[in-house]
Amino acid sequence: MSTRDNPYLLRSGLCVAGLLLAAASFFANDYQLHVMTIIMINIMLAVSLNWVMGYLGQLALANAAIFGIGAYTAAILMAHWPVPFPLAMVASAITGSAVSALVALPALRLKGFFLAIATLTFGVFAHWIFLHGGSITAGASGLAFRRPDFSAFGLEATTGMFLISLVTLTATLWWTSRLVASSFGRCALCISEQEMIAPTLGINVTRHKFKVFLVSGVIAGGSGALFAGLLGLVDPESFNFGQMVLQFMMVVLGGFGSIVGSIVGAVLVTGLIEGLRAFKGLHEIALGVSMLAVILFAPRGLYRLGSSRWAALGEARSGGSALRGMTVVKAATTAETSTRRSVPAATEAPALVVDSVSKQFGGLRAVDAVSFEVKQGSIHGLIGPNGSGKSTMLNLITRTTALDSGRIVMFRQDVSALSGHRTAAMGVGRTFQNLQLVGELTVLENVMLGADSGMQRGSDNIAASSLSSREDTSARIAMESLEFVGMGGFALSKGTELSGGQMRLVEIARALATRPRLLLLDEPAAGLSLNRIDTVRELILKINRELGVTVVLVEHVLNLVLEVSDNITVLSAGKVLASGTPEQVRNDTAVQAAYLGRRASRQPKIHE
Amino acid sequence: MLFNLLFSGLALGAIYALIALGLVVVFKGSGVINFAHGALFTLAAYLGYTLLEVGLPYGLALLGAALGTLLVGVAIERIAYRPLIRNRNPVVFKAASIACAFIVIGLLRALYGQQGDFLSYPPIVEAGALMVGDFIVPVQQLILLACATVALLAFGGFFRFSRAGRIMQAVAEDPEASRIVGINVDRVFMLIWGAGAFLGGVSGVLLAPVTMIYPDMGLYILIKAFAAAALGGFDHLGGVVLGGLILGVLEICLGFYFGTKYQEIVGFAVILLVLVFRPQGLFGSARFVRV
Repeated sequence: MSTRDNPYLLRSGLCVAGLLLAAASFFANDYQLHVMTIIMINIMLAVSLNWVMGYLGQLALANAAIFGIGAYTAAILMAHWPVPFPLAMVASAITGSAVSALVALPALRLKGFFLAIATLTFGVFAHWIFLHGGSITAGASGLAFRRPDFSAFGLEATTGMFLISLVTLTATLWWTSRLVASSFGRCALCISEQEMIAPTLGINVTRHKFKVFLVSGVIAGGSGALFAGLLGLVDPESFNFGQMVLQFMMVVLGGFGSIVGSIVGAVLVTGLIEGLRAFKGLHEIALGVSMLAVILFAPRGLYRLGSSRWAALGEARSGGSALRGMTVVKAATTAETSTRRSVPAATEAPALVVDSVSKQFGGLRAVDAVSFEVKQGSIHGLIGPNGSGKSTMLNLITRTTALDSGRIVMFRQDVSALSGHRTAAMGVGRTFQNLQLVGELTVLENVMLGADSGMQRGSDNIAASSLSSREDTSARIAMESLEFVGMGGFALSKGTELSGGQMRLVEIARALATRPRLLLLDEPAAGLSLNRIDTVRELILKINRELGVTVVLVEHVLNLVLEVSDNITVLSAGKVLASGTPEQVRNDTAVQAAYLGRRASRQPKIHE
Repeated sequence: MLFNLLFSGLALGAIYALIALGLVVVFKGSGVINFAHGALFTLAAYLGYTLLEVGLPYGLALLGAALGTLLVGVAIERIAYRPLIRNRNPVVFKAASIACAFIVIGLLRALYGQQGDFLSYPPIVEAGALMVGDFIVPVQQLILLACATVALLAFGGFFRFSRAGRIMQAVAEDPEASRIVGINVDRVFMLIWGAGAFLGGVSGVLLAPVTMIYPDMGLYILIKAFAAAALGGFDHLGGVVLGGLILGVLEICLGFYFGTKYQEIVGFAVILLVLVFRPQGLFGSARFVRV
């Protein structure tokens, strides 16, 4: 749903535009300054909404209310007390983020349209409070106060507000572009597109959602203060549903998940409104028609409609931090051979103990008192007919699904009650049966999602290091993983451009980048051609032998499992049917019956 | 007094039920929330107003306005739903229906704006009251309740017993399977959106005499429809009707005891409380709503 902007391009553009605009303030008249300030405020609002909608993928429509609450906070403070404007603005930003966090609460539970309805209602409710707030909000006529005084600097109020808005806007875009080009932005996109896999990459989904809402709220609240300061008056109608829809349109028209798109959308919408102000209803028709047109003919937003030159820039943009990472990688991989961890002795405690675990879905016992152990450093196969509970078992181990009863112990620690991202943080990586790459991210960035998680608990002292060096490290780890699975050449492709088999390898690379001690592979060979299966076989062995990672392999291609596994557990109808070495399992009559019928041959051979 | 409150509440609630039913029929049938539903409601009120101005009798104006709204509903399906089905992204559907709402509202503002921001819609009958036993019943509300009840029952009958209604149910349940057994699914989608718009239209014309009409009236009505639907459960038609009635009675009672400005709070509170604490509503199933 979104693409990322090149921070360097954006920032240099910002500096130039900022200087030009600052110079303009000495030539423009009051009306022009006013409109330009409104445009800048709208850009901030579009960016703020884009964080929640474009990057996090949450259809939340309370932004106008948060903007309004910010504006009223500043207005009330300045009307009653001699609060200096910057202080009022800080207060607005804080209030905005607090309210935004409140709005985030339903976002944790509701999906799509229903979140839209809840947040829209919140917005209309806020408007009602502005309207009926008695002497505090001064009702329909609005709350008037003395505009901030800039005479100390020899500036008119409008010029002063223009310059403050310019500074705030520049700071906002700077900060935001930094966030976008970091793991913060990557994680948001991951939650937006593939919320289910986020915990398995060590992302605390709830906390991250809150963080994004906080960022959005700070920006919207702060913009509210600027708006109040510009007008010297706040009235309910500035923050009604219409205002919300306008912000929504800026994001849709400009493009989801793009800062430059937000700028384009805000300028366009504000321009249309100002230009058509004289004709009743016309700006609504124009905006409605252009929004429909964009949805139908350029669903990714106007920003991406530009010339091929822009498109080329776009590719570099989606590399963003990653492109930089590449050069570092080249240097690093030639200089030092990557350090691999030693293979743990096979005599250590089991990597994973599943102890009579059960899970029921409605009337179906998907997993029924299943117990098995996975030795450290081994490859453990988990097989069984369709619907035997293999994938459910993996989901229980990674805490994607909560278990009903039983115990799961990992590296001697009981993880039965841990949340998904904490389990991942213990060093558990996994891939999924259905391909789960984040389509808007490049292959490298997808793998960097895993690397970020690995770095967080790794020995690398990331807290102290700067953003760019953190990004470089993450890109380096990701690139190593990609090279390891043989997909290094595709680092800058979009996830969606790959074939199914390639995506699988990238998923494995992403899981490896988390530096797992235990890797769970869910049907890595499903739907692959025979020679691809050979690649996967070699890869699994390499992961186990070279990296010393314990592997749990769920797979339908029996020969693959029989060849690589040290031990195998066979599930059938949610119960353990058999377990043992491949040889024992192969000769187990119950297993043969389950797979091939009672009178079938002794040696199941699916692929020869 | 209580009787009167209850009666006005039910009359208002029946209209809410009708509006919400239109919204829910589209949601159940095509899986999207039509954010232009409020605009369709407004459109019907203006259409009815114009037809009455032209001199049509009341009943014909009502029917004409509702049919006109039906056509616009079908057009919205054609422009802003069908081309996007493959996309399946709620944001896009939502943006599309909001765009349609904007166009409709903008057109209304452009066409009627010079006549004043608020227009008054002629009442169905002169104000009056009937005595039923010991109770005074305002005729206006009686007619409102009667019309809404007839419309609700007619739609219920249509949906449950007619062939077209059953086909709509089938498509709502499983569009792919319906396509395989030879149902023209595209046409059914058209029917569904038409039916939803028609319900919105009828309620628009019915409620217009009670309130003033203005281009932005649809938003507040949309919120009521959301509240009724949330309360009953978005995928349960009967529940939605009950939700509308409950909402109407609550609003009238609260308005009477605390002042009319608090009347609106009921809708907000219902939506926020229900969606946060029991997202599936009283009768709906959770699978549509929860993450």
